Order: sequence, then structure tokens, then C-alpha cells
Amino acid sequence: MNTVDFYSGKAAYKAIKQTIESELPNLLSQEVLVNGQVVKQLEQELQHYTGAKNCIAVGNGTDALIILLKASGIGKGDEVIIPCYSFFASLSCVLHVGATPIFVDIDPVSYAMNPEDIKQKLTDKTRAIMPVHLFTQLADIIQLRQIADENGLLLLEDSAEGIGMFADNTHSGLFGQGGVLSFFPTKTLGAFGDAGLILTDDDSIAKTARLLRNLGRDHSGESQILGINSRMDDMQACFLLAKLAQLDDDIESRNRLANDYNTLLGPLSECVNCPQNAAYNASNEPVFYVYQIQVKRRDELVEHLTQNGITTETYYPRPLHLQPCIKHLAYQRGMFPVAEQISELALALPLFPDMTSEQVEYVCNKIIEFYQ
Amino acid sequence: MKVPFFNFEKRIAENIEQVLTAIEDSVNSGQFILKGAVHEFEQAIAMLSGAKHCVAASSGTNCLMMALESAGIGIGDEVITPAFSYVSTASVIAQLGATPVFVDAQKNNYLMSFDMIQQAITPKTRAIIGVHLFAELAELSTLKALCDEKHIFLLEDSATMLGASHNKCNAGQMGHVGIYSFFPAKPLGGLGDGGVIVTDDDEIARRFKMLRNHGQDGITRFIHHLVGYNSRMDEINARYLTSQLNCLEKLNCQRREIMSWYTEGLMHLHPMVKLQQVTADTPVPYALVIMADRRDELKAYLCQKRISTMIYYPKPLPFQPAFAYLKHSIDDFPVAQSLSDHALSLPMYPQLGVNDIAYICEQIGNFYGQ
Repeated sequence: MNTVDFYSGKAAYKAIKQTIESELPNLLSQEVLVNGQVVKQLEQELQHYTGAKNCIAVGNGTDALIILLKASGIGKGDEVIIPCYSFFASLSCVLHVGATPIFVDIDPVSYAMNPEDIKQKLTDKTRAIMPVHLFTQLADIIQLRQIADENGLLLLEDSAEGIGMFADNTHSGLFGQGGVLSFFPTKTLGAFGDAGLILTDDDSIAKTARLLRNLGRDHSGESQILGINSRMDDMQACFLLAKLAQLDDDIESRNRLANDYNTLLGPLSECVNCPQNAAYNASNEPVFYVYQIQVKRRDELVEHLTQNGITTETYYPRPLHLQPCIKHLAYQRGMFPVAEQISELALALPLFPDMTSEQVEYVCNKIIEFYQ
Repeated sequence: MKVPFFNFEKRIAENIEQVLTAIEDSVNSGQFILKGAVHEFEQAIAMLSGAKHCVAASSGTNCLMMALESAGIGIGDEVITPAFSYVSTASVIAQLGATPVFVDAQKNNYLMSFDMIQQAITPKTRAIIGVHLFAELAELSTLKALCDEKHIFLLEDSATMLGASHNKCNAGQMGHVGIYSFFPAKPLGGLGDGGVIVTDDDEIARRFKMLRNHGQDGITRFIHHLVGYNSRMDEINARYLTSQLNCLEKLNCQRREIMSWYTEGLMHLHPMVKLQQVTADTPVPYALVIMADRRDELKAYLCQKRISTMIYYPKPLPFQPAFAYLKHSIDDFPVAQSLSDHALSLPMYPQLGVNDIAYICEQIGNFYGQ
């Protein structure tokens, strides 16, 4: 039987193996192996790639969000507006800094927060809007920035998936006060373990974030503020540096494979919705981190694909407002109909830069087979 | 002669094959975070420590925090912890909204004493962090009995002590939960940050497993039962650590030998130089911290002689700005303050040879004109 993994790093590692084998011994021979010289170099290269004035590497994307919120001064008593459809970290970061999440529904095409819903959620406690850029494209960043500006709110971006996504030459994460990147292995720029980063043009946020990631400690070793331990390993930074050199090619491959999917799944439009660029992103190039379709009889299709050796993911089976850990906030099913419906339709298909067109074809044939 | 404070160059060079194998095996398995290799490593550490459960996370600090949270520590609770220690043993308490209650140190071994801890217990005390420092194990058996009686959670910070024991009890098994850190400089040093808890408590292990991975139960993905964290061990690191486990005993022996060389080489400098009092049956010297007269001058002198040293710890925790809100006065922790004024940490890692130590001791002797 053919098998198609959801993600594979084999070819990616093969491509950088020589570099790693020749450079790793030196790179790991520094005085420190955590948050050291290689990490610093990665921060600089990513400043260059994204145009961010400051890049602060941390242990993972979730911690990057927590640190970003904390460094921006968000805390107890503050309300942060977030979409109810995202990975859990978009919610947990708000809770971890002691603030209150205020959910809004999403746009069914971009999967990002619907700006129309924000206005009725604003209170005198609202401090920030935190859109999430999911799967292929940016949230409606122009409108969101306008709302933030008009109401004196911070615009912080969960751009964990947003590397390579630009609008008007501005990289995701840099439309407001700051954003983050995740380098979870499956990400467009993925490490071989957990790693993350904060992007900001704001020097004061950057300075605080640098303290927060290392237990509040400055050069003297004294803790100036209460911090956490969230540092990037230099080894992961080595991988990321090597892969960053190929990022543009990788994005091109991802987009090419996504086109293959679009072409092959096009005829199934009755049962399968292929991803589309939202109207407001018409002039922005998508970056296919995830190829996500919306389908009828989703769970049966998953079963069928699994039987045929194809691994898929469900991003996300339960919207954030219905997560058991926030039962006490008393959100109910029915409050955010778009997100609730999409959580029953959405399905992510295998996609990684070294996937072959034959593999895409195999996946599509099995989907066609299912609906015939 | 040049003596760096840590020497990863030698260690990585010695183990480069294992490093590359760990990477390649992880890539080929398609598993990178919290999968089979982490599980295998957890099993190996559980076996080594004698604990029923071992659960891995991304760092020793996070292990401390999530262990406290798993034990239900939170807002309004008091947690007793040393004034003289690394910041993690206090910051994790504050992170959870609980109050760190600092206890001064003893002059000879730098640790909290049972009596001092006992005096700090109030009706709000919900937990105590018993910290082993540098080369000496804290005496926790009497404390454990008291904690059991008073329903206080005893968290053993055995971060640096994997392989140490006293009275046939392994470090990590002396409290309700123990932790080990695998920060690269630790006795079992990884390729980056990493840590584990060890415990016999089923419920704490269960909650800890959920907390480390976004509150998921490990069965159904994307359903979040607790407001958890992202604090997971990478597979590459777990594979590498597992490959190093069979050397641990040898490395620990080397550490003990290095400590004995230091003891011999510095003894005659008493009382200008005082060594940490170590009474543990089987210590694992992680750091060699002396108390030195004219410490800052000595540090500068050694630096000139190309010997790198560090100050563990430059300021007692209650006096660091992060804890200024507790409003301690400078007289509250006289011993910790004196330790901070005199402490100097000398190079201590298995790659050091007898000549390195002789050179260091000789230079210290020269400084004091002996």
C-alpha cells in the first residue's frame, strides 16, 4: 500500500545534512548551547528576512505569545479579542498572563477573525486585538489595524504560521506592536523540535521580552523581573539557519503542490471546498503552510484516507470557546456558528515541500474514489 | 594554561557520532517532540531513580513550576524556598500566584536547615522546595515526615543530582516529587534545555503530563482539559540523553575525583578559602563553590591567569529586583548575604584533568601568598 505522511522531514534533512555535519561540531563548541551565538545569528537572519527591527528567539511559539503579551503590558483585568477558531495557544497565552479572552467568530474563507464582529465586543477593558493568520493567508489586517488605531488598542498578531506572508511589503507579525513565529517541525520554516520567536519593531517590548525568556535575568545574572525559562537550543537554530536558506524554494514548492491539489480536486466542488484567497488578500501571495479543505462527511473521509495510508489532520475539531478548560466562562454552542460549522468540515491534507506530485495525485484519487 | 568554565568543545567532539545519530534517527522516524524516544528516556530515568513515574518536560525550571501546579499550589498559598539558590526555585512559585517564603542558609553547606524550615511554616504553607546545592544533598528525611504529617507538598529540587544518594535514598526520591535537569552543563547534559520529574504519585504524574502539552489528555488531540503549557522534550535530545546514560556513573565518579583534588589542593588555604561541607554518602558535585576572602579580587586574578569562574549566586533571591515586592530588608538573610559576598564557583566538569585542578589551586594559593 502507498503511504503518504502528513509531514516528512527526511528530504529536508538530507538537503541540509552536509551543512549540519560540517558545521554542527563547531557551532556546538561554544560556551553555551542554549540561547547562544547560533541563536543570535538566527535572530539576525530573521530580522533581515522579515524586516523586523527585533527578533527574540524563544523555546516555542506558545511561549512567544505569552512573552509578547506580557512584554506588551497585558495582564489581569485586561480583555484581549481573539478568534474562537485557532490552535489552543491563541487562547492559553491570554489566560496565562491573567487577562480575559473575548472571542469573535471567523471568516469562512480565510479562517481568520471577522472584523465586523469586533466592534460590538469592545469595552473599556479591551486592551488588544490578536488576530491569527491561519494556514495560507493573513487576517484582514488593514481593517483590523484601523479598528485598533481608532480605539487605542494594541494590535498583536499570532503569526505563528505566518512566515513568508506579506502585505504591502510588510511581513506578518509587524502590522501592529508585534507578532510571533513558530518553528514547530511541520511549519513552513520548521525545526526538528520545538522553537519559536517574537518579532517586534518596538524596542521596549523587545527589551522586556529578552528578560522574560531567561527568568528575568540580565547580564549580571540578577532577575530584574519575574520571567520564565524559554530559550531556543543552538542546535535547533543550526537547523533553522540551514533551512532558512531554502525557505523561498520551499514556499514555491508548497504553492505548486497546492495548485496540483486545486486542479485535481476542482471537479469535486459539490463535496470539496478548496482553499481560496479572501477578497481582501487578493493582491497578497498565499503561503501554503497547510492545505485545508472543507468537506462533507469529513470523519468518514478521514477514515477512508487512513485506510489508504494517508495521514491527515483536523485543524481544529473543537473551537476555542468550547474547550473544557474554560467551561467556567460559560460560552455555549451556537454562539459562533461559522467556527462551529467549520470545525466539522475542515480537513488538512498532507503537504510538505518534498512531497511529490504523484503523492498529491494519489491523495486526490482516494478522495475522488470516496465521493464517487 | 587556559581553563574555561564549561567545556562543551571536548564533550561534543567526543560524542559527535551520538549527536548526529540522534538527529538522523529522529528525522527517519518522522517523530520530533514527545514521542517514542522521550518515552523510552522517561522509562530509563524512572528505573535509575527508582520512582514509579518519570515525566519529561522542556526544562528543569518548567518541571518545578508544573510539579507545584500539579500538586494544586496557586494563589494565596505559601511555599518555603531557600534565599540562596538559583532563581527558578523562587520564580516558579511567584509564576503560579503563590508567595515565596524565603529561608536563610547555613554557613557550612549553604543549605536550609530543618529547624529553619520548621520555623517558617505557617497555616498557609502548602509546599516546601528542598534544594540540593552544588555538591551537597539537603537532609530531607525528617522534613518529609513532618510534611506528611502536615499535608505539605515536598518538592525536591534535585536538578543537578542525578546519581547522588544518601542513606540508600536516591536524590530525587526524597520528597513527593523530585526533578532532574538536563541543561548541557548538568551531570547528564543534553543538547539543550530539558528536564524530568520523578514521583510515585499517580495523580501528580497524570496532571503533569497534561500540563506539559497544552492540557491535552494524551488520547484526544486538540481537546484541552487544563490551561496547560507548551513544555515538551524533543526526541533528538531524548535520544542523545539516552545514549549518554551508560556513561553517567563514570562521569559522576570523575566529578567526585575532581572534588577530592580540589579539597586536597585548597585545604591549606583555610580559612581564607572555605569549601562546601559535603556529608552525602554519594554526592554528585555539580559545581565547586568556595567561600573566598577578597572574592572579587581573586576572581579578577584568576581571570588574568585564564581561569574562568562564575559567581553562584551573586545576590540572595529576596534582594533581587524581581522579588522586591516582598519588601525584605537587608538584615533578613545575613548568611545568604555573606555567602553571596564570598561565593566563587570554580570549573567543575569531567573533562578536567588533575593538572588543570593543580594549576587552579596553585593560582589560588599564589593569590593568597601561600
